[in-house]
This record gives sequence, structure tokens and C-alpha cells, in this order.
Amino acid sequence: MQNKNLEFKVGVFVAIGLLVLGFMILKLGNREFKETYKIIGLFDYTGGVVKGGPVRCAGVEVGKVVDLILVTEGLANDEVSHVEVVMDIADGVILRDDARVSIQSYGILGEKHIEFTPAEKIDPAAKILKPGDKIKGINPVVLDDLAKEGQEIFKSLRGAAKAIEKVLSDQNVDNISETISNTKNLTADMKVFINRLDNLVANNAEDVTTLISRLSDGSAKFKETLDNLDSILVSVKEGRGTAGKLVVDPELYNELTALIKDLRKYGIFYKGKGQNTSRSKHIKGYDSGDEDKDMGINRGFIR
Amino acid sequence: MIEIIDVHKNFGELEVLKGVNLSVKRGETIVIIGRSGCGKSVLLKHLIGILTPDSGKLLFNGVNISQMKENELVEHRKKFGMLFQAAALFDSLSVKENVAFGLREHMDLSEEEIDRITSKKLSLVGLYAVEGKKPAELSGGMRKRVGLARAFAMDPAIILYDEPTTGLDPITSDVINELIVKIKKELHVTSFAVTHDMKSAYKIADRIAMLYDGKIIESGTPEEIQNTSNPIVRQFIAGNSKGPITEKNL
Amino acid sequence: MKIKADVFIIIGSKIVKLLKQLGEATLMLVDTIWCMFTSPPRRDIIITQMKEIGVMSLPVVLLTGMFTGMVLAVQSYYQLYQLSMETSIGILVGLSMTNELGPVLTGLMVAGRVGASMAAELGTMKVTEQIDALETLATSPIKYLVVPRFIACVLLVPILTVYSIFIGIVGGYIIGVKLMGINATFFIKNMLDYTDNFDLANGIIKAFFFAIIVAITGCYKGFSASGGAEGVGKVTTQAVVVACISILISDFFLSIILF
Ligand SMILES: Nc1ncnc2c1ncn2[C@@H]1O[C@H](COP(=O)(O)OP(=O)(O)OP(=O)(O)O)[C@@H](O)[C@H]1O
Ligand SMILES: [Mg+2]
Repeated sequence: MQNKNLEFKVGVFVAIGLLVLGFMILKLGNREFKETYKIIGLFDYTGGVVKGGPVRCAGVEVGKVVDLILVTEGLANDEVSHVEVVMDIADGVILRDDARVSIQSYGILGEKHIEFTPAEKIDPAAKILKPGDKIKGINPVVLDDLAKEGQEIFKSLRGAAKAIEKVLSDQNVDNISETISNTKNLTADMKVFINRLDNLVANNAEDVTTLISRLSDGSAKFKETLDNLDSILVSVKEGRGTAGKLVVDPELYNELTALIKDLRKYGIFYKGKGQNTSRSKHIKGYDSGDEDKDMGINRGFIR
Repeated sequence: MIEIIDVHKNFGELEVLKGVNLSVKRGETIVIIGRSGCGKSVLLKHLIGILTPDSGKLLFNGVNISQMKENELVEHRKKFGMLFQAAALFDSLSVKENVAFGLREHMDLSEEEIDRITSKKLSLVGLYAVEGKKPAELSGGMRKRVGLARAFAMDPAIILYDEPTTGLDPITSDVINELIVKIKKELHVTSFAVTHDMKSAYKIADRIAMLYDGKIIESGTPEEIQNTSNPIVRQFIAGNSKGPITEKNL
Repeated sequence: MKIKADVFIIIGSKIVKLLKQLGEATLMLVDTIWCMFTSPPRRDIIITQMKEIGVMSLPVVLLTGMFTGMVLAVQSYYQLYQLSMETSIGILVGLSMTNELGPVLTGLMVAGRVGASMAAELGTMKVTEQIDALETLATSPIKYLVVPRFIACVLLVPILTVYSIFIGIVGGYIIGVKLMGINATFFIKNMLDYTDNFDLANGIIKAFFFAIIVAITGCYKGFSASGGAEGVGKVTTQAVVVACISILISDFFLSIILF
């Protein structure tokens, strides 16, 4: 009788212990997605994505990175041309090839994950990604490149400003073509820059301060240019435009938007087709001159 | 049956046994006498393989005990029953479990069988209705008797008694002496007893041996011992405080 | 010159003694494992030890586990709050309870409770000749005394560790969420994100080794008792001290090996 009681106690002790253990194993277990298919993302630079890292779609975890392959094909001496990021995506998650595939960081320790950002409007023409499909990813920006690019933009901006000055003061029609090409270059550069900036901000929020300090050099010079422009463009100072807002300095933004608006008014500058749907939609929004909406572009900074 | 040949045993600096020679025949009861601390208990422990000699041999049926392998030693020990000087009962177990210990470990018996044997062995040593008690609840004399019952439990062929009657009143002492004699006669066990109690020694012994200064100095029948000319043995059996033993120490 | 030589002799003899004991304890472990498989002890003996070692240790293990989890949460809250990272208390509590504190605290508690009682019990048996009596009854003290304790320890200390880990996390949760007002979902989510089954397995593997340490030191020290009550007291203290130190040292090496 006493022996039975003893065995009962030990039995209860062990049983509860094993239950707790089972509970913890289930809870702590890597919540695997049962049925998955593979998608391959192509990146030039993966910025520290690791095997087993999460893949998210619009912020929701939908899979994980299962492999990172350094691709050396087509290059001599086994040089690395790009990286294939093999991902397991849960069945039932439909991704289209117009989605933006980028590398983002999340979590307290800033771990890198792959983020699918679906296009804003579902485009029935966009192909649905099938198992084994490859999709080009957006490379996270390396900071030095960005700074260099920024300086180039300022250079060409200054060139453009000078050209405009000539056009407006001398009424020299012959020089207009030069202005057009300058400005075109400028906006194209600007767009790339903005894209990269956006990426950068998403990935390296803390590094943005460094960037800004680097930019401030350039923006001082730019200010000079703008002062020049200012005096010239008194008449065309009402509208609001694009890209400037994206650069942190609001004044810079104001001036730049005014400039582009004016240019468009004169019919010299037509907005080109955006390479990136989601981004170009935003830009369209600003072109409409809707001021409230403008804040939306700061999304990257706020996040 | 048992032959002890030139056994030496030291504990560190202390030489306890300095060449003990003794042989015991089957069915014989031999009693070892000697002063307290002369190494009688140590000698007993050699016979059952708890202690091993530093030199010399202990032969059991011609086999050297100290060279037995683990499983041989287990078989060897199963033939022995031993009563410890301080009983050495397992104090976490009840009296019944103490007595039944060997039965449970080595024999496949039913619970009723075990009950029957334990109460029979306990009644042999004059104990009744103590089965459920813990050793701590017993008197010293009762513990000794439980130890005796435990030594008898497996019906061993050889029984080693380390002072079976010390701590018992004279009447119980005599009951135990009778018991030892009776067991010897009925079951033809070989007994190896250690005692200071000369009355008990004369009663149970076929042969008495005196251990002194690490050696057996005299051995013979009780009559031979009583009539010995050896002054050391004479002083011991007479229980005199004056004599060669005490003189030597002074 | 003479004094110097004496110092070396003292140091040398200590080291030789230590190595001898280590060797003997290792031999005992080998014997125990061998005996465990060749002649397993009776079930009721193991069950008795399981109750002693597992069930009776549960309250103290739960108590220390709980308070450790709570202390972790309180301590880290003030540090992490300044970094606005207080939701990561869950990570801290989860990782440290599973990998370190769960097994180590359980090991130390069991060393204090069970290791001590093993050494005292076996030590008393040794000095009152009960171990000798066991041998005369043709029963191996390893089989009858050590193996059941060893089996009970090795099976139940990991389970005690599971209890400790669980209650520690619960304690951290209570302090973090109920007292400090951290969002419960974030607490749990962060903990689950950073603590996985490897951490749990780590803790359990450690507990397994600590169990071996406690059982073998307790039994070995008990068997080496001599003299009377004083000797028993001495080996009891030694058993606890040696087991605790061994647990902490082996924890260091296990951490290196397991990560
Ligand atoms: N395990 C041991 N370690 C060290 N010394 C021991 C040990 N066992 C016995 N001795 C020593 O050996 C000597 C003989 O002890 P033993 O127990 O054989 O005496 P004894 O003849 O049985 O005495 P008593 O009649 O009082 O029981 C004693 O001096 C004792 O101190
Ligand atoms: Mg004695």
C-alpha cells in the first residue's frame, strides 16, 4: 500500500515533468511551414542574410532562407558574379514577379531577412512565381557608393542650373537642348538615388545620420546654386514637384520641386516611364501637387 | 576447510596481524579469544573477503579467498553468515527486511515464504513481533539478536560470530550459547566465533585459540586451554590484571 | 632549502591525492554503469531513491527556479528599459534559464540536498559496518547502493531541470508582464524567437552530466568515510563542495563544447 503510494508520487512527478517538457519542445520548436515551394532570389550583395533566416511578405513571415549559393558561372578565376538566395515559401502564398524583393533588417539584434513587397495594384499581367523561379532582388546600398552618387547628382544639378540661367537670361534657344539633356540626366540620377536612399534607410536607419552629414557638404554647394536659380525663377515659384522632398532638406526639396514644375510648365521636361511601379506611383502622387500626401514619402525615415 | 597461513595485516603504521596460522575443520566450532583491539574482528573480516591480507594466504577448500574473482567471491560469501560486533543492521530497513535481505537478494521466494522464514529465525533468537520495527527502536541486545537472525537466514554452512553474547543479559546469553550449539549439532555448520566471554567460549567451543600480539599463541580444546602452562593464556582466562600481558605493556 | 622542499612535498601530495580520488571516482562511475546494465537493481529500490531525489527535491528546485527567473526579470528590466528594449527580457530569461541557470541551479540544489544526504547516509553505513554487512550478504554495495541512486539522479535531475526552466520563465513572465507591464505578446514572442529546442537540449544535456557528478561524488565520498560521526560530517561537507565546484567547472567546459 505504502509502496503504491510511493510509485504514484514518482509517476506523477515524472508525468508532469514530461508534459512540461513536451509543451516547451512544441513551443520552442522552429515553427516549420509544412508544405513549401522554392523561390530563388538573385542578389549582388546580401548584407548578412543567413541560412534559416525568415522570409516575409508585406511583413508577415511566409518562409525561410534555406540556402545561399555563390554563383561563379561565366566568370574567370571563379570570381563571384552574384548570390542565389534559395527560399522556402509556404504553399498558398502567391508572389508575383513585380514584387519588390529586398533585404531588410528587423528585430532587436538587427537580423537580416528577405522582404517581398507586393506591387501596390495587382497587375494581372504580372507573372505568378512558380516553384524554382528566379527573381531579381534589390541590392541593399553600400554607403560609400551612395555618397559618391549623391555628389555626382549635385554636380549635374549645378550644370543644369547654369544652363537654365543661360536659357532664361539670354533667351538663347540654342542652349535649351543642352538644358534638357542635363535635366534629364539629373532626374534619372535622382530617381536611382532616391530608390537607393529608400533602401538604405530601411536597412541602415542608424547610418542615415552619417549619410546626412556627408550630404550636407554637397547641399551647401547646392544651396549656392539654388540661390542663383532663385533670383532667376521668381516668376515660376508656385508649384510643387518631385524629388526634392525625398532629400532630407525641406528647402532643397521646395526649390527642386519648383524647378521641375517650371520646367514641365515650359514643356521641356516630360516624366519618363518609371522602372519601378511602386516607386513611380508615389512620385506621381507628388506631381499632383497634393501637399498632405507628400509626407508619405518619408515612410522610409519614419520606419 | 579453512586454512589461515601466515597472514599479515597492517593499517598504515599499525601492525595488527603478524603472521596468523590457523586451520578449521568442517563442522568444528572454533573460538578466538584475545584482548580488546588485538585484531580478532580484523581476522574474521579476512575470512569473508572484506579485508585482504598484506601477505599470507587464506584458503577455503583449497581456494585462496583474496584471489577470488568478483563472482566467485559472491558465491563464497553466500556460504557464510556473519554476525557483526555491533550488529550492523541496515537502519533504513525494518527488522523483517534486515533478516530477509539475503533471501530477497539471492532467492526467488514468495512473500509468504519470506514471512515464514523471517519469523522463524527471529523466534530462534527469542524475538517476537518486532518485524515492523526499525533497528533504532531496538535495544543493543535485541539488535545483536536480529543480527544473529540475519546471519542464520540463508542457512549458511559457515557462521562467523563476532562476540555473540556481549551486551546480553546472562540468561539470554545462555540461550544464544545453546542456540549456537544446537545449530552446530543439527545443521553441522562450521562456526568461527570471537569472544571475551570465557563461559560462553567453554560452552560452545570445540577448540579455543588465543590471538596475542598478532599471532595465535595457543590453541586446543577447552580443557587443554583451561590447563595450559602458557602464562599469557593463563592470565587471560583467569582475568587477572597482573601478569605477563600487562607487564609487557608497561 | 629544506622548507622549500617541504612545500613541494605538500603540493605534490595534494595533487597525487586529488588525482587518486579522481581516478577512484572514475572507476566507480565505470563500475556503476557496468553494473547498471549487467545486474539492474530491484525496481522498488530505484523507486524509493526516485522519490528521495526527484519528488522531494521538487519544492526547493521550483522555489529557486522561480525566484531566479524573477530576479533576472527585475535586474534586466532597469538595464533594458534605458535602451527601450524591455520587451527583450523574455529573451534574456528564456536563454539564461534554458542554457545556464536552469541546469546549474538544479545541479547545485540537488548537490546540496541529495549529494549531501547520499554522502551522509552511505558514510554512516560505512562507519557502522553496514557496507561490510552488505558485502557479507553477497550483495555489491555498488549494485545495491550506488546504482539506484545513480539511475534516479540521471533520470530525474533532467526532469527537475525542465521544471526549473519552466518555472523560471514563468517567474520572469510574472515580473515582466504583471509587475513591469511589458506587453505579454512581445515578451513571449521575443522569447520564442530567440530560444529554441537547441537551448532546451543544451540545458538537459548539462543536467544529465550534473546528475552524474552529484551521484558519483555523493556515493564516493560516503564510501570514503572513516571514524565516527565526525568522519561522516566531514565527507558530507566535502561531497557538497566537490560536487558544486565540479558542476561549475564542467558547466564551463560543457558550454564551450555544446555551443
Ligand atoms: N579499518 C581499519 N582501519 C584502521 N585501523 C583498523 C581498522 N580496523 C581495525 N583497525 C585497528 O586494528 C586493531 C584491531 O581491531 P579489531 O577490531 O580487530 O579489534 P578486536 O580484537 O576485534 O577488539 P574488540 O575485542 O574490542 O572488538 C585496532 O587497533 C583497530 O584500531
Ligand atoms: Mg572486535
